[in-house]
Amino acid sequence: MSKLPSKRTEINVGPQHPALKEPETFKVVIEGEKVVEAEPILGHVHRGIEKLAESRDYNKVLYLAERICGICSFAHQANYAKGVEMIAEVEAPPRAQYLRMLVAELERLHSHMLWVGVLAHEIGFDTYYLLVWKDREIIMDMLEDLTGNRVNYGMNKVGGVRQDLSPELKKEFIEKIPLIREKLEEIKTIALEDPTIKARCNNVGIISGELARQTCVTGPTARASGINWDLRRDSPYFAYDEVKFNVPISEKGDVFSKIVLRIEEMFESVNIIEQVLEMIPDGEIFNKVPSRLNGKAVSRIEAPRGENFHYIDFRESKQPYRMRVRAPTYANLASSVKVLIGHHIADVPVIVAANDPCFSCTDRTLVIDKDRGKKKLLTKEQLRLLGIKTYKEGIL
Amino acid sequence: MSETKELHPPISLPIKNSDIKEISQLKSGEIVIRVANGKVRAILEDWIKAGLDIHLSTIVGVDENERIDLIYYFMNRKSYDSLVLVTGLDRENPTTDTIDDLVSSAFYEGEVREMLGIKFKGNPIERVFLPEKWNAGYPLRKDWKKSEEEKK
Repeated sequence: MSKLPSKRTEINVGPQHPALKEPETFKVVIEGEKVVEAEPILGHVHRGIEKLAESRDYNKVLYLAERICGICSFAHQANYAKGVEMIAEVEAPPRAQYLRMLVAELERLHSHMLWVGVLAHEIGFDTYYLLVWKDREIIMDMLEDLTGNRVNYGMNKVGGVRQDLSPELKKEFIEKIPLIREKLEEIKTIALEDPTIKARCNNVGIISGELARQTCVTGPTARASGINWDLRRDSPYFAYDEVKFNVPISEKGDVFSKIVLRIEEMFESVNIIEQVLEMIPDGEIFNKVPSRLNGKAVSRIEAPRGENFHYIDFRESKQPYRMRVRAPTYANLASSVKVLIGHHIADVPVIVAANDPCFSCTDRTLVIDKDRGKKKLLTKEQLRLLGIKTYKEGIL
Repeated sequence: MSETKELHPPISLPIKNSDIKEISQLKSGEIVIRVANGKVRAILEDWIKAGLDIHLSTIVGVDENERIDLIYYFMNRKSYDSLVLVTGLDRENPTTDTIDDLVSSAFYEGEVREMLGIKFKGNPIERVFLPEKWNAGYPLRKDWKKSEEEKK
């Protein structure tokens, strides 16, 4: 550290990012190489969805809800549909509940695989990133075969689902399960044994149990810090109380434990998919819902990134009086900001990526040297390379 | 409160009878307790003092025309029970205390302030979602019109 200057420098990390979809800025103040302050700047893609929902009838809001997120689109849509069904006091038929579970777990698989790939890319391990993303295509194909789409599936209706699982497709899915397990084993072996991943992720970005509790984190971020909470097990919805699965927990809270935890979760998702395909009942996939609704409900779902929260309020109307959405990344934001403090600037992309944020962060970096008053723009790529170079040369 | 207790499942988190103004229930099953403005912070302080492991899912602001309701969605991490606290604020001068020092809520409060114009005493966040120089009112209030944005 003695080689490095210890001036205070302000860096804007963001707001464009090709890998993480949505824009987000982190204003980071560093002294030398150490982060001393961090502040997120949100709202680059605020689309006013909550206000828009108030002027649309509840069926149209389904498609609005689906477009909240590109990766966990099903989680948002299914959560909204579940909430409206509670208000209408209509339950989706059992077959629809199982189909929702099937898509939800496939989505969790592809979302976690996407994340492992993105994290590998952030640490400069592009071989691993492409390997994981290649295997992710198996899941994407399954989703496309079932729903017709790769990203926004349009699977839900209020009262059920739109697409049924044909016996041929069910057979095909069952045949694919050993292949997915085999690929996951490969992914796990590399994650556990590769020295690059250990060097860049072990003991980096530790969110302690205390910080996790204070900042109310959710999902894998919470479970990696020892909070034993999974809505699928603790407040079961769909038909999660009828299938058996484990909830992996880790106490350490660093980036490495989040990799291991998410890979373990993927194995559990495969177990759930296997049980769903085995147990799925026959019958209808859709129940009728009245056109005017009255009542308030909170609908929560364990999305790939954590607790997905929708508050829905109808007052004898077709349109919601109020709809509130809190995506999991929003809940995990406070922890990612606090945990950056004390880390090296080279670790910022990895730590921000570790929470699997659904916004972008490091495409463009503005370095302001306060003492000299000069401005310098770093692209996301340059920052990534700086991170890799810094570790290669062993400066830290 | 003796009649209402029979109607609803038991309240999952300890709360003094004197604090309860009204009890209702969401269609998703959670108990909703209406309390006076400023009580949420005191109740939360009691829970934390009693060693309860409290999770705040989010804060929802709803414009009820004559007042603005703040809905706090809490969960006890030990039993996974949820409890909803609601407090009504005066529409003309909606002010309440922050709870950010007790349980992380700065962004939720900042968002409610931007969207509905509620002031949270002690909240450090200046801006969350709206543009820096936004002066077109509070978009989630029911009397907000698009034209206000265009006037700008």
